[in-house]
Amino acid sequence: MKKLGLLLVVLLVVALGFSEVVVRLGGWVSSPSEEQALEEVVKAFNEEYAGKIKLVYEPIPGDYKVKLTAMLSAGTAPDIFYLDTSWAEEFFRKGVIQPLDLLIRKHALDLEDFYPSLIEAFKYDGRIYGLPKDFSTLALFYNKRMFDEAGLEYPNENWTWVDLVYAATKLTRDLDGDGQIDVWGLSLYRDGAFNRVIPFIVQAGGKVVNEDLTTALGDPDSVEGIRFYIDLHRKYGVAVTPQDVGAGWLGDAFGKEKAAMVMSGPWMLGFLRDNFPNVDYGVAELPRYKKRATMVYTVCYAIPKTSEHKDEAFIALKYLVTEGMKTFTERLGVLPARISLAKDLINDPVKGAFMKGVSYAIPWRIPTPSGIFSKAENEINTRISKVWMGEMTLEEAIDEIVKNYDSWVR
Amino acid sequence: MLKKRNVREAIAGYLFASPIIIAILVFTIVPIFQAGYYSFTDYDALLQQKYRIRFNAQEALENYFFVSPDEAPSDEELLSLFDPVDFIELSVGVDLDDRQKELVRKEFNSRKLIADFLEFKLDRIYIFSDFMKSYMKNGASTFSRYVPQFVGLSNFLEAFKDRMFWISLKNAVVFSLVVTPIQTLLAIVLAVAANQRIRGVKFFKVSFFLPSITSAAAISMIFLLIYSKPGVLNRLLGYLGIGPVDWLGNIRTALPSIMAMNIWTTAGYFMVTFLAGLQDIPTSIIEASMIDGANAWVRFWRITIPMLRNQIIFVVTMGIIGTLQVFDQIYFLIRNQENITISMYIYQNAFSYGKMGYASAIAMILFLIIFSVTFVQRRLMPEERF
Repeated sequence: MKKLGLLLVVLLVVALGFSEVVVRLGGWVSSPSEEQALEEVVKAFNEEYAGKIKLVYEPIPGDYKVKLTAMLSAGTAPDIFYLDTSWAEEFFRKGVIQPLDLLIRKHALDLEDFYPSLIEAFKYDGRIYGLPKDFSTLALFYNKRMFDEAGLEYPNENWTWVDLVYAATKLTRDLDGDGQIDVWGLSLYRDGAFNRVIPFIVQAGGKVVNEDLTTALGDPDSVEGIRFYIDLHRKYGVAVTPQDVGAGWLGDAFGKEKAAMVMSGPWMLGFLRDNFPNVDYGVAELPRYKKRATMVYTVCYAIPKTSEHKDEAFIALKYLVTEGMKTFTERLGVLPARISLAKDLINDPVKGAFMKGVSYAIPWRIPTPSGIFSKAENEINTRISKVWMGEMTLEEAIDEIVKNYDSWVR
Repeated sequence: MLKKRNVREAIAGYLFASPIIIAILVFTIVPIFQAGYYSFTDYDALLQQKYRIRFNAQEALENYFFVSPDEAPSDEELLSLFDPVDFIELSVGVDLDDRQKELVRKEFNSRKLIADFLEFKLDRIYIFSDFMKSYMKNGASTFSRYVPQFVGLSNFLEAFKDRMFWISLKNAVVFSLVVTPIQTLLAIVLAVAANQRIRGVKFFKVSFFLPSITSAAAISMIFLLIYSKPGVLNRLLGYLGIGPVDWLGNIRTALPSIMAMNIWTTAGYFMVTFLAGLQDIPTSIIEASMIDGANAWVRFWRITIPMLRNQIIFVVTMGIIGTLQVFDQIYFLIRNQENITISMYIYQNAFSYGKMGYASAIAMILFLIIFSVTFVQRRLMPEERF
């Protein structure tokens, strides 16, 4: 009798094991600590849904977009995967991503708790195609010691372009008197810089595209924004690229104290903590001009239309953006996309600047007729680099951009 | 009897060779033909699974009508509200072209679908192509497999009008014209040096060859540091009073910098070819010329170079093919569209710009260019047989 009971239990367990639906989760491989946190979330989910859903984390190393495209084309894509705002629209348009609206209603996920700009970032044609994993905005990092030495007040939320140039000029200094500048007020990107120029364009009252998706970069306000970015280097002489001072990227230039200010995202926090713990810095919102603006970079979880288990995938997705996001933000210090989790952060002396930015931030996603902006981005970036180096004038660059834009986004 | 043994031997031979034959077939031959086919179409990898999407037909219909079957009105009423094209495009989510729309309007069995809906028969996951098989009276095969649109020569015509195509092609050609002769000459010089009977020659052989077995990514990272503004190269030039140059950032110096790096990495590889060739030169010829009073310089030009003819032809051919296709170093180090080569432009079109058909067309053009250059070269410089 006892044996029979045991056998039944075993059979039940086996049956449950087989009835478990496997949901695969794919994403790019970022830092080991993020991978660890994700694995922890997956483990917690699997404990809660034991016997019903089994979430399996399958990181996708290498060129993520290329690999994901190949997997989607072969029909082997995971049931949940990451999409980046900057290129997600192409995937929405081609009809490979499952619209989530019905699933959100069916599984009663409260959208009110998400920042609207982050939901908006993954909408296409009125439907929601992805839910935000976390986000980053740009803010102004400043070196407190250098500001003290120059007798300057720290940047605050009322700073304008004028304050930026004034402070940067004072901070650009030749320390040893050899006629060469040792510390620069600012470090800015020259190559691939367009997404960093966009906040300046919007601050100047301009925009990237018009309602009809034609380019608005030729508008006087937009040109003013681009001009200011490049003038920080060419006219005011207060900004150089990280490469100019022997640094790999902005965080490196800031950490090595070659630049007193940089505009960067929260990914710099961990980098500075680990590599330059002695640099005393503060973070403020980006300076304003006619308007306030910053960029928001965000990544979503999405489900492919070919998934065999969309309901189960959505249950896992829901867990990832609720319980999972909580673990993520606590463990990794990334910025939560949900208001309830972000409440305390808004007053955080460091993260507050990033959190405040989200209310007026522009998603890094430029709508185009084809859904693909990368060609235009490459072409615009090349011209910004050329103007920065003095290989062409801004007028010539704008002229070429306006003339050819249509052929880049077709 | 003998014949039978031959056949058996041939079978065994092919069996032994089959791993590589299959690998080449699957990863080289088939893709080449595939690319040739795509170059005449608007192929889009993301649409490959267009008709394989999965959906719950019951839910899709409830969503379409906004009612569930138990509270639904009569089937006639539902039928009057039902438009199969709208249903497929909006509720299922498959875009149809005009021809398909017409076909669906004519052949879709709406009555059967509505009847099944009211009888709760649809509450399961359907694959779209199977769904169409069940509910199309005719023509369901249109929805069985994604077939890219045939666009004739328009991809090729687009290339000829594309400014970036010409820029990237020009860059690749310039790259090839500069790199191939220098790397060949340098490889010969290195080989001659490595062929000397001096102490530590093994060390030189290894160090000449090392770059060619190091990964392109690692080499690119090292050169990124060497070429950077505060890098080693600029520091050395600084002693000569030459100001710091942003080698990879500057549009004028970026490509020459990559060329120098490419020569450095490939010369050692081709050195091995020449080293083998040098060891084939009979010592008697060299000794005879020494007796006739030829010095090292004359021996190099009059004996070594002509005796290496076959190796030179081989190295130049491989060099041209390799340089016209240069990709990884450009991918890692070039940030400027003005300096990219044609392989990079193919990659961008295929994977960033969503234009696989166009990318295939450029790849075909590049293939034809390399093919004809090699062909002409083989005609002009036939290999000598001893």
